[in-house]
Formats: sequence, structure tokens, C-alpha cells
Amino acid sequence: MYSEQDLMLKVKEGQLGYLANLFEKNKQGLFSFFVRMGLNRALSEDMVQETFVRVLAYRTSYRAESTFKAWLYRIARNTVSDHFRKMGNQEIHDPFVEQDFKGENSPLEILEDEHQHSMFDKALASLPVEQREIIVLSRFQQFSYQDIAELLNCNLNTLKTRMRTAIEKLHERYQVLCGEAQ
Amino acid sequence: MKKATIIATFFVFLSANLLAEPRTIERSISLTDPAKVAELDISLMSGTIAVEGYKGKTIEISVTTGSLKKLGKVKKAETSTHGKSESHSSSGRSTKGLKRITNSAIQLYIEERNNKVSIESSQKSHKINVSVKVPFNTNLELELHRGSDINVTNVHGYIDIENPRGAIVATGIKGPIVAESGRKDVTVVFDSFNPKNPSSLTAHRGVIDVTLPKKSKVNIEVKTYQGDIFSGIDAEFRSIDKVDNNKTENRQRISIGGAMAAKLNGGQQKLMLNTFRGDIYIREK
Amino acid sequence: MKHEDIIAKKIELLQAGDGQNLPEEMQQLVDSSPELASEISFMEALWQADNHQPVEQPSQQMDARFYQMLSQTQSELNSAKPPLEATTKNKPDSTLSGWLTRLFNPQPLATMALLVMVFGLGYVTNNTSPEPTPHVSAVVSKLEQKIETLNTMVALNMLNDQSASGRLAGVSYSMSNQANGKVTQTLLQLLNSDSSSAVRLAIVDTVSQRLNEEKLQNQLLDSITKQDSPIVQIALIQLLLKDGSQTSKKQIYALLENNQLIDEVADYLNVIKTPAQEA
Repeated sequence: MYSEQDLMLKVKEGQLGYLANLFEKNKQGLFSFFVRMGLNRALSEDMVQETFVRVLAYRTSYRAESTFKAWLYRIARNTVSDHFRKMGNQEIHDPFVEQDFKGENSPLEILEDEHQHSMFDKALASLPVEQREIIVLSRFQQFSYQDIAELLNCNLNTLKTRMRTAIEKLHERYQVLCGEAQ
Repeated sequence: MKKATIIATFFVFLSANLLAEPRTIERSISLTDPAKVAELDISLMSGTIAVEGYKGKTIEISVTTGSLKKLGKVKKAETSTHGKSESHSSSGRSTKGLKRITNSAIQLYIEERNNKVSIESSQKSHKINVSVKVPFNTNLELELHRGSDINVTNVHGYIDIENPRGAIVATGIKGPIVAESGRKDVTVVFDSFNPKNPSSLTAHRGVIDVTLPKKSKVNIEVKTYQGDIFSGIDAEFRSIDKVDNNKTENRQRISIGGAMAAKLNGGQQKLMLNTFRGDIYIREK
Repeated sequence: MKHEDIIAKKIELLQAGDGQNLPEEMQQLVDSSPELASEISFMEALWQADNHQPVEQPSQQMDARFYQMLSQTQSELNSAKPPLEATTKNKPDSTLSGWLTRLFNPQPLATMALLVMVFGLGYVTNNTSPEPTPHVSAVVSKLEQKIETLNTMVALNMLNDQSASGRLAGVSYSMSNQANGKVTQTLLQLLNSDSSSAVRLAIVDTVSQRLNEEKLQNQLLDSITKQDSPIVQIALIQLLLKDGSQTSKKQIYALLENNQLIDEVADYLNVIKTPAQEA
């Protein structure tokens, strides 16, 4: 079984078909990343496409020094940054507004869960991009601190401080939203 | 949370006296989601259709009925056209002692559902002239089965038009556009050429007259069986079938032939122009 | 020990998802700081909150766009490969050494040296680039199948578009996917039933590449009398007269003789046909 790194090296050599394998493994994660970063569904799909276009374009510059995931998300971050820069301000989108919640919980539990999710997401969406990003990468993309530090090109201690601030802010916003809701 | 589906349906029954003047009815339709792209679907049997793009977010509809014939004329037409005795209808049943009542009720359905506005009438006996103002980016599907002309101005969404009997005129558009006329001409002036999907103009007996902005990147494919092709664009047409090429002044006059193709500014998306009898004019602005 | 270190450790444990607690030393600090305890509780809630929340799925269109892009890039790369370079004619060496070389007939020696070099290169190259293993071939084959399935899905989806321009784009897209029976079947169905002449004309153009298939020719012949548009009917006839079999051509002229064509098309054919075409 080839690792993602091996697959990307094959793509670099010109065996482009292996990019499909990398796409299948990462498309959901990437899509969710963009959605949680505040883009709507259509834009998130565009960003996934754009990311892979760039992966193809930059394939010859891939070096196996870092993990493929880190390299991919570096490109993804740049893609979404370019987008935000063009838009001028952030497009805040509640990623769960269009979803049907299907579960086996009771209606009241569903309502309560839905309420909580909604508050989390609203709180997350209200954070500045930089803070939102490290929470999304850590909580939803399951990146380790090491990976995130490498991605953001900052040292570990700086990242720890930023993460603490981000979580504090998120908590604060969450409490405000819950208070308002009540 | 699912967005609520709002359906607004208007049933417009227009009942006119036999000697009535044309009537106009106006309606303003709000869209379910004004932030999203709207779709306008018009299907009429006779009359005219005119659609214009504007800055607003509602659909403004104006319907005018055509004037009706006077009773006397109708009676005269009955006795002369049927060719049968006055006491029988065209279905052969006795009409002795009966008076023919001209059906003056007009049915026009207007419905809005999730940003799609439909205007339909299947009545053949009366002209229904529909004039609509739509937000600029609205998508259009227009059909006029036995009517007169269809006019579209300043609409930037995709456009599908079928008009077997009348002319089609679309100006200030971006496309993509697929327009087909049977007997009359198709005239299209692009504001800019949207490369999203291919565009196609078809005129069976009429002429096609298309104007493209100078910087458009288009692969133009032209085919006419009995018409001529006149081009004023800065791109050379190469024949797919054998044709004669005569260059006069600044125009390229291409004789009757099969398919011709040209790439304007390197080409990108296709624009297909097809006629059976009519000439094809390709202009630049 | 800083709060941020505790938070970092907590995140590490939450990501591991094995329910482990913070080390005792850290836990004591948490217990002694209400603010930190509140943060930690919040983080636990945040990490657990999404466990049963359905994740939004991207659409199939996203997949289709990617595979289209990949396919296009592959085609572009293939067509951009430089052609095999023609062997350059060696100009005769006009130097003294060249003359001497020719004098002592080194041709067979040169040929031998070249052969040794080529075999040597081949040996080295093969050693560094191993042949694809059966497993790799299977993976690639599976990927190719998946790409084909997705391409088919995209084509069928586009051919089903409510707008004529969308279906027109679908016909263009299908051009490279005609090997698939479902796509061809759909194209032929639309040829007989689509309300837009433009779509039907585009289909005639698309299927024209496969006119050597007898079954397809027969289906196109059948389609002639189903057309109500003179332009589409004449396009079909023109295609079959130009590139169809003799049988197809005879059948077309039979349709003409039996008044089974649209008047305008019949008139046009009567004008352009020659005795040779009817033979």
C-alpha cells in the first residue's frame, strides 16, 4: 500500500493518475476545512478544485521533507487566503444551516443538540480567520501541534499561546451566544 | 433548517366583452430568495414575449390581451369558412337555433416556486402579450408556439428560446444562449460572451445576425445549406467542406457551402450558427 | 507549567480519543483554577459535540470537475510530448581523424559500441525504474474504472439538464465518453426526442466519429424519419451520404422516392443529388 507521500512522488514523476487516489483520500477533509473556515458549499467545492489544480501545477516542487497532508493544507490555506483577500472581508457562513439532522435521539435531545452545535458553529464563525483556522485544523482536521506549527511556519510555543487565546475567545463567544439565546 | 417553500400562484381569468378593448394586468412577484438567481419560464401559444433585465429583485409582469374580433365579423367568417350548411358545426352536429358564443375567457397561470417563476397559457384563440422585468442574472426559458416575436434585453443569465413562427431578438446578453426560430430571423447582440456552456442559434428559414464583442474568445461554427455567410470579424473561416472564398473590401464573403469554423481571439467556447435557407451575418462591435 | 501547555496536552489527549486523563500534576492545576477548569470542560464539549453530527458532503459535481481537470491535464501532457526526434544525418567528418576513421572502416565497430551503450542504458534504466507490480496495475486499473464511471455519471447528468445549453454542454462532454454504452444510448434517445434542434445537431456531430459501426448507422437511419426539423434531418442525411455504407445511401434515396422526408429536405436533395450518388 502506497503512502500519500509515495503517491505524490509518483505524481511528481508524471504518473498523474495517482492524483485521483490522493483526491479521494483528502477531498472530504479539505471540503470540510473550507466549510468550517466560513465558505459556503459552492465556494468550498471551488476551493477544493483550486487546491488540486495548484497541487498539479506545483507537483514538481513537492519534496518529501514534510507530510503530504501538511503540503496539501499549505496550498489549501494559501488558496483560501487568496480568496479572502479578493473578497475584502470574510464570508461568514453557518455550515449547518442547510443540513437535516438525522439521528435516533428524541425530539427534545435533537433540539438541544442542534442548539449546541449551532452555537458552537456560530461562535467559531465569529472568530477572526487566524484563530478560527487553528481550531479547525486541530479539532476538525486532526492536525497535531507539530503539523500546525509547520503549516503556519511558527514555533511550537507561539502556537500554544495562539491556541489558548483562540479557545478562550471561542469559549467567550459561545457563552455570549448561549446567553443571548436564553 | 430547511427553508420554507413559498408558492404563490395566481390564476388570472380575464373575461372580456366581445367588443372590448385590449386590457392590461400587472403583477409584481417577490422571489423566495432574492439573493439567489431566479428562473423565468414562459410558455404561450400566441402573442408576444418581451423580457428586460433591470436592477430590482422582483419579477414585474405586465400582461396585455390582444383585441377581439367584432361579433359581426366572426359570424361572417363562420358562414364563409366552414363550407357546410349554416345549421351544422365543424363537428357535424346541428347548430339550428343556436348562436355561436366566442370564448372570451383567457387563462393565464403565473406561479412562483423557490425562485422559479412560470407564466403559462395554452390558449390559441387570443393573443397574450407578456412583458416582464427581471433581475439581470435571471435564467430564461421562453416558448411561443404560434405567436409573434420574442424580445430579450439586458439579461445576463442563460437563455433558451423557441419560437417556431416569430422572430427572436436578444440584445445586451451574455449567454449562454440556445435560440431557435422556424420562419423568422434570429438577431443576437452579445454584451460579453459567457464561456460557461456552448451557445447555439438556429434559424430554419430566417436569417441569423449575431454581434460579438471584439475581445470575445469564441470557436464559431457556421453551417447553412442554402444561405450565404457574411463575416466582419477578425478571424479567418476555414471550411470543413469545400467552398469558394472571395474576399472583397474588409469583408470575407463565403459562398454556399457546408460547415465553416473560425477561432476568434484563440477561441474558447463554441458558438454554433445553423440555418437551412437564411443567410448568416457575424459582426464585431 | 503554563496554561497553554495544559491546553496543548488536553488537545493531544482529545485527538487521541482514548479517554485518557491529564497527568496528575496538570489535573491539580486545573482543579485549582476555575477559569482553566471551565476552558477544559468547554474543550471536552467541543471535541465531543460533533461526534454524531452528520458531516456535510460535497456534491458529485466536485468529483466530476476534478476528474475532468485531471483528464484534460493528462491529454495536454500527452499531446505536448515532443515527437521522436528524427535521426540527424551525420555530416561526413571532414577532419583528419574523420578521414582516418573512415579509412580504417570503423563502421562495424561504431555500430557495436552504440549497441553496447544502448543495452547498457537499458539495463541501468530498468534497474532504477522497476516494472509496475501487479498490485500497482490493479490500483491504476481500478482508478481508471472509477474515472470512467464518474465521467459517465457526469455526462448523463449533464444530458439530463433542464436547459438546452446545459444539455449542449453535456453533448460536448460526451464526445470523449462515447465508448460507454449508456452514454451512447442516451445520446441516440435525445437525437429522437430532444426539443432543441441545436442539441440534436450537436449529437449528430458527436456520433459522426463512430459511423463505421453498423448498428449506429442503422439507428441514425431510423432517426431520419423521426425528425421534424429540416436542419437536423438534412444533417443526418448528409452525414450518411458522405460517410455511410452503400446500404445506408440506398435507403436514404428510397426515403426520398417514397416521400418520407420533409418537403424542404426532399427539394434540396433532388437539387444536389447526382446519378453517381444514386448508384
